[in-house]
Amino acid sequence: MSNGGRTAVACALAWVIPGGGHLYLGKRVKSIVFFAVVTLTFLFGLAMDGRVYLASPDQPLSYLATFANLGVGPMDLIGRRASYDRIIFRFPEEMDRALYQEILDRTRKRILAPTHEYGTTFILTAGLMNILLILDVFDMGIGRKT
Amino acid sequence: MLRSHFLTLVLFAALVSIFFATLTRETLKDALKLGGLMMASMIGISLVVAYLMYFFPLG
Repeated sequence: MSNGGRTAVACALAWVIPGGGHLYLGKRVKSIVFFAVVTLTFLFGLAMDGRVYLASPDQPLSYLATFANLGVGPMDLIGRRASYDRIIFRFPEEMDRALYQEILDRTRKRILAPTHEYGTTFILTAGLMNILLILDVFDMGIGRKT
Repeated sequence: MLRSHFLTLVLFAALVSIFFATLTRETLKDALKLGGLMMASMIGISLVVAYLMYFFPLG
């Protein structure tokens, strides 16, 4: 496989499984540590009643937060399921009254938990850490980092 | 789950320190050194900031 193809596969693996890109590039011990740290951070966040963000045109920063959440890969779907009991990425339109109310109720329920903010920070951090891992794998793939 | 603010801080500092130490250092010795320093800094600075915030008015 060409160097570019190898780098692309490594980056994709890094997104799908935290540490997967490092494992593909032969960094076995690092990959185990990264998988454990990112997964634990994400799970601790969920256990602390944290929630994943939904993109909303009313709150432009929510797009960045949603992007950070998506950084953790398919694990993000577990977070969406746990937070809203469904796989959803955008805050529903107000016209869709039933869904809008349901998502609002679920968000309020999470926010009322005393550890909600910590949990949400843990979940965001897990996503951001995995994005850094993807960039690290990219640097190694193109030879910028040994 | 954790109800203590301090334990949550220690847990967060530990996870982030392990991550960055593993990411930026190649040997175990270097990683432990950086991880320990980073964790101690995060906890120490947070305690100093928390102490300073004690003087802020509540209302």
